[in-house]
Amino acid sequence: MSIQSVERYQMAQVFNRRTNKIVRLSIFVGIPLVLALLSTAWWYYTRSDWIRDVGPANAKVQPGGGYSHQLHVGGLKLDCRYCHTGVEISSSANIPPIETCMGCHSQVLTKSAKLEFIRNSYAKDVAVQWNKVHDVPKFVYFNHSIHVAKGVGCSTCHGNLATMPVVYKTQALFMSWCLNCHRNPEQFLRPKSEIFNPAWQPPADQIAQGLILKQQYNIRSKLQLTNCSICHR
Amino acid sequence: MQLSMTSLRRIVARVIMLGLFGLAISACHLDMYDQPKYTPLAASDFFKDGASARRLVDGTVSRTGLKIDERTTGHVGGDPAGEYVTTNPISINEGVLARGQERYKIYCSMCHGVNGDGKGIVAGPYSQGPLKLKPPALFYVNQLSAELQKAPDGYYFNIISHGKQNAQGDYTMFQYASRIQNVDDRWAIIAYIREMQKNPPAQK
Ligand code: HEC
Ligand code: HEC
Ligand code: HEC
Ligand code: HEC
Ligand code: HEC
Ligand code: HEC
Repeated sequence: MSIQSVERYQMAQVFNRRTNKIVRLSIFVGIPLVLALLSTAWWYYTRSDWIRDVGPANAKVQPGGGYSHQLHVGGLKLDCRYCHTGVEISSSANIPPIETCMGCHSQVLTKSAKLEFIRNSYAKDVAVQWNKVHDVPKFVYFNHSIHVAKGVGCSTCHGNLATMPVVYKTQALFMSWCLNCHRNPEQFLRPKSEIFNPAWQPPADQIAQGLILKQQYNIRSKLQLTNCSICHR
Repeated sequence: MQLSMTSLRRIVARVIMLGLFGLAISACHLDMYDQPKYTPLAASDFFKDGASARRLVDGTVSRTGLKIDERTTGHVGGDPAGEYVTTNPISINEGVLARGQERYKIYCSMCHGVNGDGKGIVAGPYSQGPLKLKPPALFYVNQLSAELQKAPDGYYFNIISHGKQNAQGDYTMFQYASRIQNVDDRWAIIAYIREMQKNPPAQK
């Protein structure tokens, strides 16, 4: 060290002893605080509706003019199974082929500009590429048929489609959400006749009704239904 | 005091390690989210048409369709050129009729009417164009439906399975075989239609 710098050290201290406390405080309290804030922000960010595409504001844009469940399910009272034919018999609900639309639209509203993309697709035999809205990670096994057969209705998981001009997610599809129902399905179970009713509302005594239905449907125990290999197989 | 080159490098290395650590605990797991496998109806950039699901080769027979008889074709002896079957090949009971009613409501009622009067919700003011959606009533209301009522069960089965074309070859009613895949469901619908014809619901 040079002489000059030694002299500088001998000058009045810039920081007095008390500042040591501030340093210690900022190390032992400040840094954890910042970390906690950061991880809370990360937690909220990754679980936010925006990141999980939940709600009408985060609806996906569909090709062409899109397809409106509000018109067809709300207005025309079409049954889900007219189009989603797989929902009772397989894991996938199935998105209908364009032939299903053309069964009506070869004769219904044949001049509508909003149906141009349907007619084109049918005439040229090129599939319309819908954007997938509900998408669980590939390490999760989901199956529609079991839920439909055991009294879980579409609207419990997908919301009231009869009011949606564009499909959006009403559930973020967290694992905790699946487990909440697998632990206590009676909160959501409904009678067979109401499964496809998009506007179903739980009765006032849902838990009591649900417990009866749970017996009727012969639903397995909490322990069996929360086994990891039910969904991760 | 000056930072020596080595300690500078050490700090840079630490920052990089910290960054990598951050990546490791946050975003490196996406390969399990999007695995290289096809799920139903997933898109594919391998095939030219962009779809992972391939079309069936012409003449493909489904496993349940391998059996060619009256139940699967609606023709006597399963011969497509033969006569239509006149009696329903499945045994009809209350359960079958309830199933038929349910399937009719899902797949037919929007055109042929909830009670078969041909006044389904889609058939009314919406239809346009040269084809004009005109689904017939399925029980007696006029000459056409009287003819239809006399048609054998096998004829109905073939309308459901293959649809109906007009003289120009355009489909006026599309096939429902791909949607009502279980042939017994088609026979159940027919049994239900026969029941409606026997006891026509009140006219509005
Ligand atoms: C006339 C045919 C038709 C009917 C009836 C119909 N849908 Fe759909 N549905 C579609 C089409 C086409 C799509 C794909 C386009 C889109 O996502 O907007 C779709 C998409 C969906 C999706 C989103 C799929 C995804 O990408 O995650 C859900 C959920 C859905 N339908 C539920 C229902 C329910 C519940 C009913 C009955 C209340 C119903 N649908 C009735 C044709 C239909
Ligand atoms: C059962 C018959 C039926 C089927 C099947 C059907 N539609 Fe429709 N669609 C209608 C009717 C009837 C209307 C008019 C509804 C209204 O205006 O209230 C309509 C309206 C529409 C419109 C709005 C047109 C306009 O000019 O406002 C679009 C777009 C449409 N349908 C797309 C589709 C698509 C895509 C499918 C296939 C997934 C489909 N439809 C299947 C009967 C049907
Ligand atoms: C227990 C919750 C649940 C119920 C009940 C449910 N769905 Fe789904 N649905 C999902 C999930 C989760 C996905 C995403 C599946 C995936 O990504 O593989 C999905 C996907 C879909 C899709 C997109 C195509 C597909 O299979 O991936 C359609 C269409 C659909 N559901 C329609 C329906 C209809 C119609 C009903 C009622 C008969 C219904 N769903 C009942 C949870 C549910
Ligand atoms: C609203 C209630 C509810 C929700 C939400 C729900 N489930 Fe289920 N799930 C059930 C019921 C009820 C059964 C039938 C249990 C039985 O048969 O004993 C079931 C059964 C299953 C089965 C079949 C189990 C087997 O071995 O047969 C799978 C797989 C499954 N659920 C996956 C999921 C996944 C993944 C999610 C979340 C994306 C989910 N479920 C959300 C109620 C629900
Ligand atoms: C009812 C179905 C279900 C059961 C049972 C289940 N999981 Fe999950 N799990 C899911 C779903 C759905 C997701 C995807 C959640 C998401 O998209 O954030 C998931 C995600 C995960 C992830 C990845 C989380 C992430 O963010 O990367 C892990 C790890 C996991 N599960 C472990 C388990 C273990 C361990 C068990 C048994 C104790 C279990 N799961 C039981 C449905 C289930
Ligand atoms: C999209 C509307 C639509 C639906 C849904 C529909 N049909 Fe039709 N159907 C028609 C039309 C239109 C005709 C008249 C065809 C003609 O005369 O060229 C017809 C004709 C018929 C005929 C008489 C054929 C003849 O030779 O006159 C029968 C039988 C029939 N349908 C049965 C059914 C059954 C059973 C279902 C349910 C599985 C069904 N249809 C669903 C529109 C429909």
